[in-house]
Amino acid sequence: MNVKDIQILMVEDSPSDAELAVEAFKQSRVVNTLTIIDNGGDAMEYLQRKGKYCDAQLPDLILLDLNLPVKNGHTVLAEIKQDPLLKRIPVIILTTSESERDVLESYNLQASAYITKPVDFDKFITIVKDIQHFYFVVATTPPNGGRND
Amino acid sequence: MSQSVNKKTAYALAIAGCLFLLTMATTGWAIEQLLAAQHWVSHSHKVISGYKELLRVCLDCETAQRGYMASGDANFLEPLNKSLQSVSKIADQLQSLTADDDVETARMQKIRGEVENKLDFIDTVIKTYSNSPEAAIAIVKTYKGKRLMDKIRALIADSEMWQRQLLKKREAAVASLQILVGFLIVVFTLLEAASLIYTYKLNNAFSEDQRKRTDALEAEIKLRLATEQSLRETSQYLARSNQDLQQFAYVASHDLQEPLRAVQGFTTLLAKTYKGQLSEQADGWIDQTVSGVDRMRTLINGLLQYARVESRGAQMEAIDLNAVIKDALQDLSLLIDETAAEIKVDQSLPTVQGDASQLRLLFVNLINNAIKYRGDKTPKVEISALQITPNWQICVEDNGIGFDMQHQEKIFVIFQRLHSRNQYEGTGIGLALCRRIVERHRGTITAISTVGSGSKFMIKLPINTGAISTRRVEEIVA
Repeated sequence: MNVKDIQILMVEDSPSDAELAVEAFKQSRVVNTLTIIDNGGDAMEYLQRKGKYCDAQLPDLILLDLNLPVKNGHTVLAEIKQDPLLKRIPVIILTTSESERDVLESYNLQASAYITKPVDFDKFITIVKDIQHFYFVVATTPPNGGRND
Repeated sequence: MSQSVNKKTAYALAIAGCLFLLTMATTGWAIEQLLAAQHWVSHSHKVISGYKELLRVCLDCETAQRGYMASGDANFLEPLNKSLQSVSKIADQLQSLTADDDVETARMQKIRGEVENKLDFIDTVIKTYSNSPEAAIAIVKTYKGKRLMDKIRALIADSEMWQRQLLKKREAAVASLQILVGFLIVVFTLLEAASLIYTYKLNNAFSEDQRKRTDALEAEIKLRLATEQSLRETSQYLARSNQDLQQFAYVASHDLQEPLRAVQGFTTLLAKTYKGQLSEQADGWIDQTVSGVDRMRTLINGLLQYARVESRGAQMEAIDLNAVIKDALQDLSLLIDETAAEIKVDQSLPTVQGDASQLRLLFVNLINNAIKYRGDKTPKVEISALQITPNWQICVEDNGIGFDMQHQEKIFVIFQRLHSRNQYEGTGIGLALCRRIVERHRGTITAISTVGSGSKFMIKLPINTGAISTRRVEEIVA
C-alpha cells in the first residue's frame, strides 16, 4: 500500500451518493483526503485554485459525475483536458447513466474510465476498492498528481 | 353483367326499330291501297257518267230529229253532226276505262253498237223525211227507235248496277283493309312500345344496379377511411404509450436509481454497523427494508429491460437458435445443476432473423420458468422446432405444475402473477418481457397447459424475414 497522502476529488451533486462514497472509501482504508464538490463550476475553480479554493491541492484522481449543476460533467472533463496542468490527472466518470452516447462522449473527451454506479452498496464498495487498488497500487500516476510542490 | 345488359338493350332497340319500319311500311301500303280504291271508285263513276253521256247524246239526236220533223227547219239537225263525233270519243274513253273488265267491255261494245244503231236509225228517218215526210213518219211509227232507246237504257242500267256492285265490293275490301291496317298499326305500335319500355326498364334496372354498386363502393370507402383513421389513432396511441415507456425507462435509469441507491446503501450500512446493537425488532425491520429495496430494484430493472426491448434493440441479423439455447443454458447452469433438471434440445433448431441477446433473454426466461414452476418433480424441459410455413414454431415444454387455461392470456400481462410471493418469487415481468421480445421479432407467443402435468410455450417466428424493420414504432410516428 502506498502511504503517501493521496488526494481524491469527487464531483458529485447527490448528497447521499457522496455520503455513501465517503463511507465506501472509509471502509477501504486507503484514502487520506477525499474532497467533495457538488457542482461543475466550483470543481473548475477548485482545480484552477481560484477564489475560495486558492490554497487547494491538486488531486491525484478525479471522480466525475456527468449530471451536474452549473457545468455538466462533459464540460468539466473537456476543460480539464484542455488545461496543460490538469490534463494528466486521471479522470474517472462515475455516473448513474448507462447511455452509450455518454460512454462514447466521455472517452472521446479522454476520460480514463467510465463506471456506472451500482445500486447495491456492497458492489459499490468493491468498485471503490478496485479503483484505489488499480490507480494507487497497480498503476503509476503522474508524480505528485501534477502538483508543483 | 353490363355487357349482357348492353346486348339486351341493343336487341330490344333493334326490334323496336324493325317494328317501326314495319308500321311505316304497313301505313304506306294502306295509303296506296286506299288511293287505288279511290281510283276505282272514280273509275266506276267515270264509266257510269260515260254511259249517261251516251244516253244524253242519243236523246239530243232524237230531240233534233223530232224538232226537224215538226218544223222542217234543218237548223234543228245541228246537234246530230256533233253527236256522231262525241259518241265515238266517249266510246273510245269507255273502251279504255273498261279494258280491265271483260264483262264490261262486252257490254260497252253492245251499248256502243246499239247507240250506233240508234243514230243510224235517226239518220235513216231524217234522210227519208227530206224525200217523203209520210214515209219517215211510217218508219218512226215502227217504234224501232223507241225499242233501241229502251235497249240502250236497259244496258246502261245493267252496267250501272254492275258498276255499283263492283264499287260496293271494292268499298268492302277497302273497309276490311282499313280494319286490318288499323289492327296491324296498333299491334306494331304496342310491340314497339313494349320493346322500348323493356329497353328503358333494362337500362333503369342496370343504372339501379350501378347505383347500388356505387353506394356499396362509397360505403366501403367510408368504412376503409374510418378503419384507417382508427388505425392511425391506435398507432399514434401505441407510439405515445411507447414514448411514455421510453420516458419511464429514462426516469427509471436515472432519477429512480439515486434514491434507490441511497435507501439501499444506507440500509446496508445500518445493518452492517448496528446489527445486534439494536433490538431484535429493529434488526427485523432493517432486514425487511433491505429485502424491500432489493425487490424494488429487481422490479425497476425488469421494467427497464421491458422498456429497452424496443429502445435498445440490436440490429436484426441471422441468428442460430442452437447457439442461443446453448448460451441460455449456460446462464442457467447453476439452477439446472441445483435442480438436476433434464433439458432436451432438438439438435436442428433453425436460424432466424433476430437480436441475439434478446433471444437469449427470451429463452433464459422461458427455461427458468419451466424449472421454477416444477412442483415436486424433477424438472424436464424439452425444446423443439417445427416448420409451419410461413413460420418456425419453437416449443418450450415442461412437466411442471402448469396453469389453468383460463389464465392463458393473463400470464403474458405485465405484473400479472398467478402465485403469491410466498409460493413463488417473481416480479410478473418475465413473460411480458418474452412477449415483447417475440413481438419485436414479428412473431407470436402463446401457451397451453394442463394443471399438474406441464405447460407448453409456443413461439412463432417468421421463416423469411430478410427485411425486418427494427424501427417499426418510430416509423409509424414519423
